[in-house]
This record gives sequence, structure tokens and C-alpha cells, in this order.
Amino acid sequence: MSEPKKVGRRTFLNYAIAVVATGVIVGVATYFAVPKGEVTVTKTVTTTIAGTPTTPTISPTTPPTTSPPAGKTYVEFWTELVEEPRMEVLNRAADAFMKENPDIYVKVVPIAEDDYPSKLTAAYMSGKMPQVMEIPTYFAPEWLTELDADAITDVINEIGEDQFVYPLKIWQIPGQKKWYAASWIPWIAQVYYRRDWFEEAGLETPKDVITWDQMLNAAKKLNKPPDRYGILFMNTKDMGGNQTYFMVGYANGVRLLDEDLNIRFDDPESIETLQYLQELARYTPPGPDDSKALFTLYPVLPGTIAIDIANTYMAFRIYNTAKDLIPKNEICSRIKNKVEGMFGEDYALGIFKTNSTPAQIEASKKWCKFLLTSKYYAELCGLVVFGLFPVIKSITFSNEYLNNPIVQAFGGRKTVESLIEGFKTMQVPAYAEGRGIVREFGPPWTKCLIGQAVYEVCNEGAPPKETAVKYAEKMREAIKEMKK
Amino acid sequence: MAESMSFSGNYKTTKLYGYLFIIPCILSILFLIAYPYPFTIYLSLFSNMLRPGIIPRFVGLNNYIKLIYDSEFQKALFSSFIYVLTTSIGALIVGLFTALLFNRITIGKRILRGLILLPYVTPLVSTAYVWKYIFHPVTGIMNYLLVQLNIIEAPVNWVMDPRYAFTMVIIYDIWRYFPFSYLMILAALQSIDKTLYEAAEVDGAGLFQRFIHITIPGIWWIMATVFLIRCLWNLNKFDDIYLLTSGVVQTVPVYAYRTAFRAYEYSMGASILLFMAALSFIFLFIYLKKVLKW
Repeated sequence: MSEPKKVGRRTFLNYAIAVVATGVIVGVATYFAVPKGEVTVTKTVTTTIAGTPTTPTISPTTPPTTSPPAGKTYVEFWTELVEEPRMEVLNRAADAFMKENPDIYVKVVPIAEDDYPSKLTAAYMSGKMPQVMEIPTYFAPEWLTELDADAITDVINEIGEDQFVYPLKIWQIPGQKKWYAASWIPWIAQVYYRRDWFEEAGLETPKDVITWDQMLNAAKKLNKPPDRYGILFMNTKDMGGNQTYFMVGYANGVRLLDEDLNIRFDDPESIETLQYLQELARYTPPGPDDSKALFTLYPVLPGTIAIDIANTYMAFRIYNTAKDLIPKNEICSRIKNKVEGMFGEDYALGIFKTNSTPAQIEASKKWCKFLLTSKYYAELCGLVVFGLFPVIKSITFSNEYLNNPIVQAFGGRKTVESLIEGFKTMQVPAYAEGRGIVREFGPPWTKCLIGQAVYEVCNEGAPPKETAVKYAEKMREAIKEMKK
Repeated sequence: MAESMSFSGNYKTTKLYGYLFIIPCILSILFLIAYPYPFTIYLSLFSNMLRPGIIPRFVGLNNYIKLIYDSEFQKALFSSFIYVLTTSIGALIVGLFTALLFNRITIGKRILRGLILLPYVTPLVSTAYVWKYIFHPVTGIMNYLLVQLNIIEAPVNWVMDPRYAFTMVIIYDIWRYFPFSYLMILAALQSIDKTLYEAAEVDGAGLFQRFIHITIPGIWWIMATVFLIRCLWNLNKFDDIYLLTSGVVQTVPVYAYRTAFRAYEYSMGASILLFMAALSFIFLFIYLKKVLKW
């Protein structure tokens, strides 16, 4: 048997030094090869915050794979439209934009909405904030100080404020002709109901506006468990419950914060809303229902739900899964009790000044204007009709958008106009009258204190008044804590 | 003997080479710990950290004190304790009996052993969603069967209703992870010398006596190690619980996630995680000393 080959100490050390040196060289080369400002994004899975499509979708790997060419102004655009067809349109839009503006390089980065807080905080801490981002109102309060209101105001002024289909009140800085962000792809809550069943049961069939009484009576009358339930709405103790409170409550005049930024969760309007939700919950499927149930039962299993309090994403779901349901279905974009109102979410384009150079701000303005006015906007919104609603008149009323088969199937221009009326009454809880979007909104919403109250009254039979008082106090404490 | 060593030189030199070889590993571990841990500790001593437009404030140990008095955290901690204990023991027992059974099966054992591993190797998202659909109150087959068989009067929301969700999460975890225990225990079972059983049988030992005096001592260390690993995993388990119940069941990791990434209370989130890390270390220390006798 041969003896194992001996390796001398010197030989071994030589090899070790060679390996370490190679590692260092490769590391240094990689460091300089990767452009600054590059954010590596891995595959992400989107669930839902806003009650948007329910199927988890794997996002494409972050395009493009090439580095921005030297001498070009770099603009990074974060979008929550991670689904492949939507990313494909956005990437084509970026290519077309770069062709028109050869001195700008735009990188579209898909970020699942659930990952917004962690990803943006990481970017903020590492000094690698994106230049442009799709930003919903519920997420904005935390980041208002980083948004460049002057830049986006220029974009809005260039397009023309009157070119937007609804007044840009939500994002406006109070007392000024300035905005934090420009509306881009909003959605609004809607009530979908089975008109055929309403007619069979001899119930009124409201159009555009449905009242609290109409909803409750119909839910009561059409509830035949376990085969059919009267109504379905989100009553989980998370964002679902948060949203439902406002979906129904705005019709009763609820507001989370008043002009003086006091919590109003325990005022009579709020208590009545919780009472009403408790009553409605008697006619829902068992246990807490989340957004998945909302977007599955009504369109995928027609026959199980009579009324569904969902949002504009539903039309797209119905078209794709149950076209036969369209003629039997009716949509109301507003609910009425003491007043008329509807909850929505305004996903807007915001420009971050945090880590941007003046050249990047200028390039970002051009990119935002391009996004809002190019043909790609109509194409993008056509992918999820009504879920991504185009807010620029020339796009909303363009032939390309109005002739979309889904828009046509749901009534074409007439429905679009009715929806715009809904958007005009759209309210968001982050907005306080006279104050605009406020930071005080954050703790009650992010801690889901509203959702927990909804959950308790709907699922545990908690008394509405005591629950409202209990959670209003918790909200006040949370805000106090934030301000410390 | 020096001739039998791969490297020339004496024992001291060999030891030096040993250290040299593990330097990359030590460096990478240090790199992964050196920054995150001190930073997390630093984070936990402030309030309003990592928040734009807000100046962080040094609060010392206030976050920890608040945590101890936080009723929601107390509930989450209790849930975590029950969850870790029941799932770790449950998966171990089911894994043990499955391994014992499959150790004896001779026909089609390869296929059957493979099938047993299915819950463990199927992606988590798929199994969680399948369970959600099976137990759905309107569309789920389980509710349908239970109602048809008159076991329950009306459908129940098994995975979302807090009255049942916690039990469902425990059952799901045992179902999903018992194959891991099974795999480890089966490997240990196969390493037990068969002659020990033959000798015991000759001496008149029954099935139960052979199990207690030969099988259990033969697999004891594997079982103890598997239990330890599962406890540590489950103490930090987030994805299974969150995917299955959408946050209805709130264990400490779910609570920490909500606190840090939903409510932007990163400092409080850091305090929770450090508290859990300390708890894990204490458990690990006692377990290693008392059970594994290290």
C-alpha cells in the first residue's frame, strides 16, 4: 500500500494564499462592476393587503439584467404590479420611454405590496431609496417627509389638474396648490349583488347607490345556509376588518380622525356602524371571512353568496371565472345611510427626494408624466379592468380603453361614468379633513385596531358600544406613544 | 504515527492546519452574527428607530419592560409555548410509530417510505392552501362530510375561527413535520444490531420489553436531538401559522412580524426577537446539559 502523499507546509500555504487572493480580486471586481443604486430583488410572492386578486403570484425576476449604461440618469421605479403581464407592459413602457429619452435609464422593480414596509425601510437605511414608487394612501403617512411634493406638482401641472377624472383632494397639501403624489391606479369599494335573486324575492334592485336598509333586508331574506349566504364581507382582525369598517361606515359619516386629529372611533356614527356590521354578520358564512373568500365565493362559486362587499377588482374576476354571472349581477359604487360615501385606495405615483440627485428628480418627473399619458397606461389598466382604473380623461375615455372587452361586458362608457361618480366620493381613512394625509392615522391602521373591533363584534358577539370605546382608547394610546 | 498523517509535521502543526481550514467558516459565522446581533440590541434600546422624519429616542430597557406587561405578548408567548410543546411531542410520537411500522414492512417499502415523506417535501404554500380549501366552511369537503354524517350541525370555519384555528395549526404542523422525525428515527432503528433482539427473544423478552430495553435506548439520542431541533424551529415558526390562519393564531413570531413590519415598531420587534433568542438559549443550555448530557 502506498503512503499518502505528503503536502508540504509551504505548498499548502501557497495554495491557501492563492485562493484568498482570487477571492479578494473577484470580490473587488464584483463591487465595482455592480452599479451603485442597484437593488437586488429576488422572487416575491404577493398575498394581499388591499383585497386585490387572491391567487398568489410569482413575480418575474427583476428585469433588466443589464447594468445602466454609464452617463445616463438612473431612475428606479418600484411597483406593486408584480404579476407577469403587468410587469411586461411596464417594461415595454420603460423601453419606449428610454427610446424617447436616451439620456435616462429606467429600471422597473416589482415589489409585493406586503413587502413594502420592510423593503422601503431597508432601502431608506442603506441610502438606496427608489426615485419613483407606487404609493397607496395607507402607506404614505410614514413617508410623507421623503416625498418630493414640488416635483410631482410639476407633473400634475404639466398634465393639467382638470385632466384627472376626479378632484385630486386626497393627496393635496392643505392650503396649498401642491400634492404629495399623483393618482395613478386607484380602486374603490363596490357592492356586487345577484339582481336575479333580488327580483325573484321581490326586493328593490338599486343601481349605483345601495342603502344600509336595502342591504340588510336583502341579506336577511336571501340567507339560506349552508347552501347560500345573504352577504359576504371581510371581518378578519387585520386589514380586511380595517377596510370593511370604512366600506360600510363612510355611508354613516364615520371618520377616524377629526380636524383636530382626535380619534372619533367611539362617536355615535362609529358605534352605529359596528352595530350594523354585527347585524349583517348574522348572514355571512361561518367564521371570519378574509379577502380570499371575498374574491372566490361570489364569482367562482356563483350561487353561494347574494351580496358581496368587494372592490373594483371583482369585475375582472367575474369576467374571467363566471361570464354567465354578468347579466345576473348588479354593481353599486356607493353605499348610503346618513350620507353617501365609499372607501377606496388611491395608489399614486410619488417621487422620493431622499437619495435622488436633481437630474434624477427631473428624469423621474418625465417618467411619471409618461406613465400617466402614454398608450401603455390604457394597456396596463385594460389588463385588470376597473381594478386598475385610469385617472386621466384622455386615457379613460380613449377608444382603446372603452373598447376593451371587459369594459364592454360591464356596460362600457355608462359604467365607466358611474364608476367615476363613485371615485368622486371616494374617501380614505388616512385623510383628515383640513389636514390632508396625516401621520396620526398610522397606529390605528397598522396595528389593525379597527379590524380587531370589527372582528370582535362580528365573530365574538362583543357589544358594539363597549368595543368602540375600548378600541378608541387603544388608538389614542397608540398615537400618544408614537408622538412621545 | 507521523507517517500515517496526511501532512508532514507533528501534532501541533496538524492542529494549526485544522484551525486554518475552519477559518472561512468561522469568519462567515462571525460576519453573520457580528453585525445583526449588536445592531438588534442597539435597535431594542431606542424607540422610533428606522422611521423617516422621526428622531429616535434612547429608552434603555423600557421596551423590554413594556413587553413583559404587554397582555398581547403574554398571550402570544403562552400560545408559542403550547404550540412548541404539542407539535414537537406530537410529531415525534407519530414519527416514532410510523418508523416502527415501516421498519417491519418489507413489501413495497421503498414506495411507501417515499409516500410518507410527501407532506414534508411538498412546498409549504401548496399544503397550506390545500388545507384551507379542505376545511373551508362553504366549499370544503371536510365540512360537507361532517354535516352529512351528522357529526356537526352546521359548517365550521376550522382554520379561521379562533376557537378551532389553534388546534388546526397544531394538527397541520404534526402532519407536515412527522416525516422528518420518522426519517431520523428510521435511520436510527436500522442501525440497531438485530442480534440484540434475537438474544432478548431467546431470553424470553416480549415485544414491549424489547421496545423499552432495546429500541428506546438505541434511538434515544436521535429522538432527543430531533425534539430539540423541532423545538427550536417551532419557537421561531412563522410561515406555516401565518399562511394557514392568516394571522388568526398569534404566536410570538407572528406578533413580532406584526409589530415590526406592520406597525413600524422596529425597536419593539427587536426586543421581542431578542427576548425569544434569550429564551431559546436558556432552553438550549438546559436541554444540552440535562438531556443530551453535553
